[in-house]
Amino acid sequence: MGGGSVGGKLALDLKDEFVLIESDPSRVWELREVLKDNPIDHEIIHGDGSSFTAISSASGKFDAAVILMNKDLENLEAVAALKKIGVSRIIARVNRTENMARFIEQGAEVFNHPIGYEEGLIRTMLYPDKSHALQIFVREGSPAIGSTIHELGLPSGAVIGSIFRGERMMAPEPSLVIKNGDLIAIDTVGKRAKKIWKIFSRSGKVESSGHLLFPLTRDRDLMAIKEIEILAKKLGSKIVFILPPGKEGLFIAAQGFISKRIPFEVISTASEQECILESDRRVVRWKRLDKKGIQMRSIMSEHMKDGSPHVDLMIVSSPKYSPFYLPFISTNLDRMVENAPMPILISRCQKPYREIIMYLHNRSAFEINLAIQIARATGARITALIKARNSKRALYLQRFAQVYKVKVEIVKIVGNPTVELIREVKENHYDLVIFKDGLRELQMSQMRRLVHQWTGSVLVVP
Amino acid sequence: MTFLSILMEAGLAMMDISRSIGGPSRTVDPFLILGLVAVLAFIAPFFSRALKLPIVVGEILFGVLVGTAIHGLDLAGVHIDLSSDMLEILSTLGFITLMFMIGMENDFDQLRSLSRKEKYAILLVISANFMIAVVPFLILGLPLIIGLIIGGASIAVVMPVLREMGIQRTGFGFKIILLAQIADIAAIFLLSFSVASEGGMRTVFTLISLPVIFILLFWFMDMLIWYKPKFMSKITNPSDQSELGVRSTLAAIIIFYGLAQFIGLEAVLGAFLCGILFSAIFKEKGPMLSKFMPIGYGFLIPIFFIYQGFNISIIDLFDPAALALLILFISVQLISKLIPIFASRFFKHQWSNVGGSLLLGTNLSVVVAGVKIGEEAGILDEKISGILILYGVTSCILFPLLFKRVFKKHLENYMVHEPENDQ
Repeated sequence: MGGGSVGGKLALDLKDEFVLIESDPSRVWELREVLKDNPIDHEIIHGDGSSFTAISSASGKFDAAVILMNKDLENLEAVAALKKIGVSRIIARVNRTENMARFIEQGAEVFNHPIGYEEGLIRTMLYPDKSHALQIFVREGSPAIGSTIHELGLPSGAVIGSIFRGERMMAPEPSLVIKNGDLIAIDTVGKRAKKIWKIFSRSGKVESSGHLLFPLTRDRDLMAIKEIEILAKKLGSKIVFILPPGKEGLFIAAQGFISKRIPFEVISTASEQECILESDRRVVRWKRLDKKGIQMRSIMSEHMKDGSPHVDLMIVSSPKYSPFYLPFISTNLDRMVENAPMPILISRCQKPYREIIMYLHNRSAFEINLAIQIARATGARITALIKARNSKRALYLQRFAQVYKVKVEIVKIVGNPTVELIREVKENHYDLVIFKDGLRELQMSQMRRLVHQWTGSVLVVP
Repeated sequence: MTFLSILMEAGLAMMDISRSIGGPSRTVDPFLILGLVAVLAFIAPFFSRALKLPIVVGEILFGVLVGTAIHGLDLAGVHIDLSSDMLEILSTLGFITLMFMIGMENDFDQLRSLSRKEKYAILLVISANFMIAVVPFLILGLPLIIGLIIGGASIAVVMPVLREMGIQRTGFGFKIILLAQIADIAAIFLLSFSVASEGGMRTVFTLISLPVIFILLFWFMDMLIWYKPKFMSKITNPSDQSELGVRSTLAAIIIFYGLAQFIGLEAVLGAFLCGILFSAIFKEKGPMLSKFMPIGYGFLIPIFFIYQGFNISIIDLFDPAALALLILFISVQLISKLIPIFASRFFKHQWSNVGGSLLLGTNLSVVVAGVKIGEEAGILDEKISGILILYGVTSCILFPLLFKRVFKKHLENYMVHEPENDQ
């Protein structure tokens, strides 16, 4: 619906049969002229795109619809009419950000107007490709902080779809200044992702992957290697082994479990020659530190300072199960989780995640970013528990899930969040639970129990 | 009993009263007193709002007005006895509920976001405050409990004042809420221990058993959530038709009340501890409080405050000694807050140190709790209790007013320079 400049350009790029409805008769004539040589079967109809009569007059069964009219009310009416005739995918332009929620509620996939290069964004939404849609969480240290969207100098063809800041969805206007903690959805139409990562990363490295930090401190840690391998493969991440003095033997054992295609780095006190077999040289980088340098916290902090927008995780093996666990006594793991500057995954899952559960609070942004990226990579479904007062976050999660084709179920809870989260986790099967550490709404002794006593993996976000 | 019969009873009572001038005291039907309390409880919020006072102050003031009127009639030879067993029980239940609510309002998680230096500063200010508050009364030979009462602060009054001014989430608001919370809790603990200290070795047992019992109960509740989440979900679900949440909370309060009595502590401390335990274990207290608040703040607590006021007469204040005591209480209260806050430069600016000391001067819940504890232990007589309650009411009227005056001058400047603190 809507054959303006964006609609016209998009029509030229479409790979499937389409029907275009336009209300201006002269534009209809113009479009017929422009598209007369288009090899794709198409029909251009004169009519009001928001009226049910015009929509139902278009012959055929439609898989998707794109609504590009300039008034939100008309666009909303069109969404309702299209739903009535059973169109499963509806992509709609939202002219005023505050109306976005209403569109999402009706089941439409949305983007803000004006953002520039809309046709590219719509094309990405219609023909999704993992390398095209990026989600960036702006971390402290990112050079993008303080720049306007215009000053970022995004490569041509890359479009910012939306920005979530605090509790608000912001329209991506060129003058908007990027701030620490912003969650940005960027759609690209080419393989320009690397350039975008570079813009947001302090080190300016052209890296397209995150890091999975894996400290090898005891034999038990090898139990986590399967999950690390799966995540590294699915997320396209690099594994960073951290070897305290005297644990080089563990690293030699660990190498046998890792697929040869997965790159890794090593941070160790030993030299490369002491740990790597000549026949198995896959190490991208060997960083040698003295004994004092092998401090988990400082390694994590150093890593996070980079401001890289990729998924960086520290993965640790699960502690031994004890039925008499006392949540009052802090273990080394508890202290590590509490003080960690980066997300920590307590590994217990040996296969790709299918079900992820998370608690959405009124400041969730980083957790949403992590959950979406992990679910997108592993094909898992996200169940988000949410209190009614935080429903804006749910809309945001749904919006991202639509763009990245992740299945999301929002479960509204009325009672106590801690009790409801524990009940949900125990009553249904989940592979991964994600929560924010130190959140006021959640009882930390119960969250510690999740870390120590649950049967699935737990991702604790700082 | 219908409303009509209550009115008839009231008429008959008044006729009897007029006949019995100069004669023996007339006991009024408890339902008539309850009716009077209910009407006063209904009017109190309108009255308080009109005078921009906290509602509890309005409730106590109404009680004091009735108490003064009865005292006046007594002096004129008309004796009316408003004491009733039923009201006594309801009032005690109101007090228990109040202590539970105060306990529930505490949020120790706020302490986590403080640096070690800030934690020491808070500890220093609170300890110095109690020490300074106690000294003058010990010198004058008055009971120690009065000093402990004066050293307290009322989070229930501090919080609404900050909220009204929109500064509860600033750095200043955050710090003052923490100070008020800790002073509130510390005062109630100190009051209970000072009364229990009469017991010698028993006090030592109490001191050891209290944290042990608290940790055991916390562990038990924690295990219940982990192993029986479905059951706990029913209890914490506000939409549960059988109101299991309210029933279980009420049962827990009464059990704690009895438990505290059993181990030789002030019984109300049990209800208070129950509130702290619930606050610590459930974190998100909204759904539970939303069910319990109407019963507490709408029914039982107003009965307690109004009925408490019945025992107080302003006429007593015409005694110069009483007036002097009232002034002494207010002065000690202010000095005990001003000195440690200024000495430690607790807040950034001098004027915010003054403002903070003034706001922390509001003291009602501790006063009411302390008076009740002191009276039951036979340490405080009726007259001193009355003066203490009047001091509590005065502090809630006077100090927030002065605080607003000091703070409003700097508010605009302050809001620009102090970032939001949402920790």
